[in-house]
Amino acid sequence: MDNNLMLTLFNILILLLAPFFVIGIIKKTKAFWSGRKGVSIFQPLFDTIRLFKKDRTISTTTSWVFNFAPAVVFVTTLLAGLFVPMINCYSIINVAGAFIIFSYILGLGKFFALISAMDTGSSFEGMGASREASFTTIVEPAFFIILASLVALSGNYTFASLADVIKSNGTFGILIVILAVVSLFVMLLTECSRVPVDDPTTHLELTMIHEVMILDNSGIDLALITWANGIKMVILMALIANLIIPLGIGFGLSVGLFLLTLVLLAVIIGTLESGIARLRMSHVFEFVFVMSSFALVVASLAAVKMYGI
Amino acid sequence: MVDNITMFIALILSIAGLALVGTMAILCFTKAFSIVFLGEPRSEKAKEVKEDTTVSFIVPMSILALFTLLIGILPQYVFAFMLKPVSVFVGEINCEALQFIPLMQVVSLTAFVIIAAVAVLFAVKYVFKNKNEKYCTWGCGYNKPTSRMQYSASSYASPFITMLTPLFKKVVDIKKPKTIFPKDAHFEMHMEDVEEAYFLKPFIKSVEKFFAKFEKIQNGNIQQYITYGLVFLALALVCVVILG
Repeated sequence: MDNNLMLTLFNILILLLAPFFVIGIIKKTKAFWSGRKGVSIFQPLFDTIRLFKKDRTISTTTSWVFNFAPAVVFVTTLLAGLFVPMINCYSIINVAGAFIIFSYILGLGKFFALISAMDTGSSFEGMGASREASFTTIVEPAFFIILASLVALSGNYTFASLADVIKSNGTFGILIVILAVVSLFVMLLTECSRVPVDDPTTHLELTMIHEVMILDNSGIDLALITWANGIKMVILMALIANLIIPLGIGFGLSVGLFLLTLVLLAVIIGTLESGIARLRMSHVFEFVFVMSSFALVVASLAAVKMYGI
Repeated sequence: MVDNITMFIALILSIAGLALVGTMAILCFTKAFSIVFLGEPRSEKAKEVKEDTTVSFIVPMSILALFTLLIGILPQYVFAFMLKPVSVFVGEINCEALQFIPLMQVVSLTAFVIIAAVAVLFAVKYVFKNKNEKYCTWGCGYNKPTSRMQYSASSYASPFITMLTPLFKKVVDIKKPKTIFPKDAHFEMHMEDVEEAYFLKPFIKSVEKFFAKFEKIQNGNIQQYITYGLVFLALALVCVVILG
């Protein structure tokens, strides 16, 4: 029980605090590659605290939806995080079919983010919302295919099936994990609006997807939304970490490996953002479809493993 | 575990299909809701619309909405409620269906947690007591939002529909501005279903063409109608005489 309590606390701490440091590390990495010293990795945390203190400017066009949405986005993202396993594949809410509830809770948050963007009556924000909604239609089915394949392989309907893949499937497991990790990484880049899908640093509205949707949010609303976006990033990183890190290697080692994975992924994202430019919008769809094809390969491999060729 | 490979493929495809339907529902309802209710009014008429507050209009709708909401946040009771009528048709309920009740309880709990947490967070926002300034939407220099600048329903759906290109036909009507002082210009784009553009419309056109030939018969000329009556009566008379 004590152990579980500790893991629960750890999960909550990771969910709430890791987003700032992950984003801080990404920024630090980008600064390193461009030969700058860069800001401290605590800066995103300070920024959020500053935003909480600031006043808001609200558009006269908006209705209650705009006022209400940031709270929904934050709550749903945090709640979805409670279903996600962190250390030793322990998730606070562990239930069969968790990944379906997880996706639909995130979907609810996305729904409010989209209508909040449309509520401002801005053409830019409408464009961002439209693109975000379209990418979701590619990402989600692929995510479901991957998770369903892993569940079918392990016969375990919870997120614990993630950690099971390598252990019980040998070489096939390793192949499946590599493909699943790559495709979850593409999902991470898409959902958290990173290069090459989106560029979080640009303020040229025509190139943006997620960033443009929150142009009119300010103060506490903006703080909640950026925090929620960071939490979403940590959630997806945690899924990747659980695919890679084996079970039963001791508490200390798994905590270390877990944190190392988060840092490593942040560094990879930072390096990627320094190395390549954002794709042209017409090519972004092709990039996101990479996830779907990888997901189908994962499903085929799972089928071969289970039923032979 | 899944028994055979056909079943596995079917399951994978159906779960992907369900996910696609879910995301398309997000796309569809954000579009419908935001075009109808959000942003600047999209026409002069829409600006003047007064909401109907008659009780007899609102109450029935509210009851329907309430039940829909209840199915969403208390699915386990609805499911249990449905079991009996369903068992009349299918006999005894399969145990596998019952294993989803705990999952539904989680769904229900989650729904309540979301509602409670959002309420708390919303209250916290007011505890912070930051000042709220009112200003128009950021417009990149054009600080007067009008419905013409807003994203339209077609544009909202366009990126998704473009992915399904073979199923839809992009109809663009464009008149570019010409000369140094252009008099007018025009741009319009909308999507048409393929079956509508390539099958239904040509079909309807040919049907119209065929029936247009009969327009001469029914031309609104009373004298001609009387002639029809006369011809009919004459024919009827001939029939009666001949057939006895």
